[in-house]
Amino acid sequence: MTERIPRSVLIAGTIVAVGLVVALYYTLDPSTNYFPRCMFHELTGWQCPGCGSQRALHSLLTGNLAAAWHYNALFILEIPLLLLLVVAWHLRSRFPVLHRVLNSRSVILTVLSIIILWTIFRNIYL
Amino acid sequence: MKYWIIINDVQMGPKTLEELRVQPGLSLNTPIWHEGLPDWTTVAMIPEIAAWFNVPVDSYGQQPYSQQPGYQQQAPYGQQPYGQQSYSQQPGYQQQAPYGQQQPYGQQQPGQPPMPQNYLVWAIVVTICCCIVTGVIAIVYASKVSPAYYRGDYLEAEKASERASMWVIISFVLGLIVQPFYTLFSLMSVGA
Repeated sequence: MTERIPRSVLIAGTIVAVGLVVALYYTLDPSTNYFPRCMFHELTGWQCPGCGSQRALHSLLTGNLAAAWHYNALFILEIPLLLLLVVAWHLRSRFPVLHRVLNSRSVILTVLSIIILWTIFRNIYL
Repeated sequence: MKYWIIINDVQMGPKTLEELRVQPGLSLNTPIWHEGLPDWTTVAMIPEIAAWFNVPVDSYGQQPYSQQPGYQQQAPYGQQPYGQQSYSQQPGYQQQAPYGQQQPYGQQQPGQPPMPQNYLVWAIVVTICCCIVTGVIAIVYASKVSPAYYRGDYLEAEKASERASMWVIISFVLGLIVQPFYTLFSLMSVGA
């Protein structure tokens, strides 16, 4: 798929999409507006690993890091991780070791366990 | 990709990689051809298949035999009665690989297929954003891509990559179909 869509279009599309999301979450507060709610939370009453991400993003964009951390600490930690993964994928020929380490089984399974442990932890203690 | 092979003077094909994997009598000296090749060659020259014969020494720095110097001289196709010996019967096969000439850790070697994408970013995003269960399955498959690839098992890596992308798509579809209905429903119940 990536071969058929020109690279410039992909890059432009990504920038526009990210810009739209940033603009939306910067101007509107998800806790007072009609934003999609977490189905998992509504159905079970438990917090999913991503619950609070929208409020956290809004807080982050408006400069309130403490509130963002309070809404969803994992989300705040995952932003740099996801950015790093994307960068490592695109620069994989220049930094093969970085790409290889980030995609190794142990690193991925560690990330997975952190997500699961976080879900359990937040439902019990937070 | 489809492959044609000759075993015991019988030409067979088109065959998929999966079929070749279970093909009895397939050895590194089996003549093989696929589209894009100017002429017939041997299995040893096709990295994705030669890798199956490559007994793992350690998880790093393995090479398909076709890229190791010295291999090419070993079996000029056509001068040996092919199909009669399996690679395990060839004396000294393992010792032929000159170690120490291995490529640096983690680098792609010429002729090696590129590493399939593991869709890890998307898997993490869908896990957090909507679908824990299907997202976790996607992450587990994503974790299998690179170990299989560096083991030289390109078929397995490709399979894990496809599974990971499939579960990411399933999560997306689930999220996109269910969420709007759900939002509508909760809006209506608020209004009621």
